[in-house]
Amino acid sequence: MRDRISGRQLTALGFVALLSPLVRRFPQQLADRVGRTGWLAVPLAAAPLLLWLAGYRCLLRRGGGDWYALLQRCLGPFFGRLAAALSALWMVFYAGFLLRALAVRQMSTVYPDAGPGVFVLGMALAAAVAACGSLKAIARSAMVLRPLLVTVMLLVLALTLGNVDLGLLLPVTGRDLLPNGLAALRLSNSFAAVFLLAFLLGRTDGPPARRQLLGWGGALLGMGAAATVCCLGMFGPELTAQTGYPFFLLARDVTVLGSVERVEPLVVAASLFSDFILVSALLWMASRLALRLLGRAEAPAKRPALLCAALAAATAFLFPGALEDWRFWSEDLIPVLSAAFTAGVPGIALAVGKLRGRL
Amino acid sequence: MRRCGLLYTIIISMLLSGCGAQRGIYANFRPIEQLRPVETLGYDAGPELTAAVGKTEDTPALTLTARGRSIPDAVDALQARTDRGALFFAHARFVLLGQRAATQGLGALLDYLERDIHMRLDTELFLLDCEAQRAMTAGEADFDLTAAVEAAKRESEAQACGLVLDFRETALALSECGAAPVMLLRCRFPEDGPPELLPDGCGVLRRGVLAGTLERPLAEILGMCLGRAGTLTRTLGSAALLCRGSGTVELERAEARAPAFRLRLEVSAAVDEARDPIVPEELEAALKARLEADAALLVARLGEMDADLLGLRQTLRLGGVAEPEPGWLGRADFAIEAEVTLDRSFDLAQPLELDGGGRDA
Repeated sequence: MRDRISGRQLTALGFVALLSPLVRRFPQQLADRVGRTGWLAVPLAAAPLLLWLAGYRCLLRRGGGDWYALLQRCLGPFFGRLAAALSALWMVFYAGFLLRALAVRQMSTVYPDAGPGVFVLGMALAAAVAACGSLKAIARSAMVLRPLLVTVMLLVLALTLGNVDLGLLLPVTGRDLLPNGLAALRLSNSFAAVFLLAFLLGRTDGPPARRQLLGWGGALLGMGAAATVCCLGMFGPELTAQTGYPFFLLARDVTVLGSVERVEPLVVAASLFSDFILVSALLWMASRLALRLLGRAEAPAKRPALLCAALAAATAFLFPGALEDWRFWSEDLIPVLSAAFTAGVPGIALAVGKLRGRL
Repeated sequence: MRRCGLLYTIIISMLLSGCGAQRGIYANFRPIEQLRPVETLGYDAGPELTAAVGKTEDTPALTLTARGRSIPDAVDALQARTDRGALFFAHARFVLLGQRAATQGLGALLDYLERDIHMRLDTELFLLDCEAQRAMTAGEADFDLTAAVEAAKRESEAQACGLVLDFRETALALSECGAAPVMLLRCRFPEDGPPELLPDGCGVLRRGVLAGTLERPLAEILGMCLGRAGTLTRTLGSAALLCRGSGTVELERAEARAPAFRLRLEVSAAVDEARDPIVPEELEAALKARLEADAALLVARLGEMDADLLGLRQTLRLGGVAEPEPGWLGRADFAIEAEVTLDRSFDLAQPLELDGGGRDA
């Protein structure tokens, strides 16, 4: 296969895909679940993240780099294909969820008079174009967008850090460790969707180097922790918990060089890049999985990619419009399903593979 | 394929651009020449909103008032009153709170300021001793209300309590401590001049409702403790002193029912004017006594109002008391110390002789 990417590019894909949801979700949910010491949960989330990484690394080292082939080997031809088909469907469903999530975000922060349609369709079209193309293009986009996203996020955090009231983050006692640990476990399912990128390992020239993974993973958690600290330190735990997107609220107050104000639409727009990368990658993977399932791995992927994008867009419109219902789906149900799927499929594959002596 | 990609790009660019009909995402787009920036917003009970709209190249400044069933309703009514252009709230710098609205509660306003994507979080709040609509419409057409509020703000920060809090700080104080100060402006309406807005003490918001006011000397002590006060003036006998200082509160007894605190004021003072000969030590002692008396009165008033403006709840939490009992502030003990240093370089043993003739041996 000529369309291959490097381990560095795969790491960039994962980083960009995770950065925006991390910064968006962590501050509000940690403030809601834990309170003022919620910032502790972010470094604690390193433990489950490392477990995820170690588990996948172990599985792939045992089974080779091609996830699809691994599923077939572990589960047999029929159940392997079934697992791959379920994975493809889940990717499309999750892409639809991401499309709806970005529409809700845009309507809540910048375009209150708009409906979800224009955002869902616009991003679905953009991701469809990317999914029709090569994986290299998506990965290169991630390499280009990574410094842009990091710069935008760091700029907001740097301009805010000086006004943070550390008293709002303290005190930390031993009793805070358990709720923070539990919150870290719950929030680590935010990482789950990215592990679907393991399906790309059959298209990489080698797995990402451990140093790179740990370095960028650490940077990701660092920025998540900084975002949580800034939000809690500026708004306090109660306001942070009540606000839908406290990070964007930070950006609302930022003044750049004393002259440029109200930059939050730019920050919100920058967060779209993260969704673009992940949705494109998911649609690309789903379409190529579909082709492999049909035994036509070398066929052009344009039609399957467009079909996956259309299905994802249709899925996006099936989610409820009421905010309370949406919050249940986006904050409770989908992350748990995502984690269960991303852990369940490889877990079952590993267990069955071991039992069958295929690993 | 390339043509398709180009076509997709064009379609997406059009969809996501700001052009087009005034619907959906396009409703956000307005030509800049049609924007009429609101600089100051007045909030009265009703709710009734008064907007001081700044002048642009093509339109003069004006003041609009509208009432509605809710704040968004009142905002829509304000928009409907503009004959040209659309009101633009994204650069509103000040919100003036009418007395009656403040006593009825500001929860709806604070919610609106947070939820509305156009309003700024650093919009500063001021309390008036009259209705906002009256203060904002009393001046002539050329009266720049925003400049008057800005001048009052600067005066407060330079020479008074400096308790000018923006929306974020107010909401944070209310959510963390249940109370927040709000700068009080006294309105004077001279018959032959523009209205005057004079900083004078502060209002005390408790759970979003105006619970009372603090007179200027007490507000200045509060400003000192919060690190906001400017250079204050204290008159002791025939001497006027300029004072700058800070205040800290330490927890002495961490108790949920009746904690104890030590309030320390560190003040350096300089003699601004002295009509009679002064004795520095006596002046220092008098200033110390005055400051301690003001501080004692301040904590007593805050205890009566149960308004934790000093952020003592946070101090208690850091001291290990997570949930103090209701009414703890009224039962708290305060030991007050003021350390005053009078700058000797301005001492004059006697006033200057200004009638000529020099001094003979």
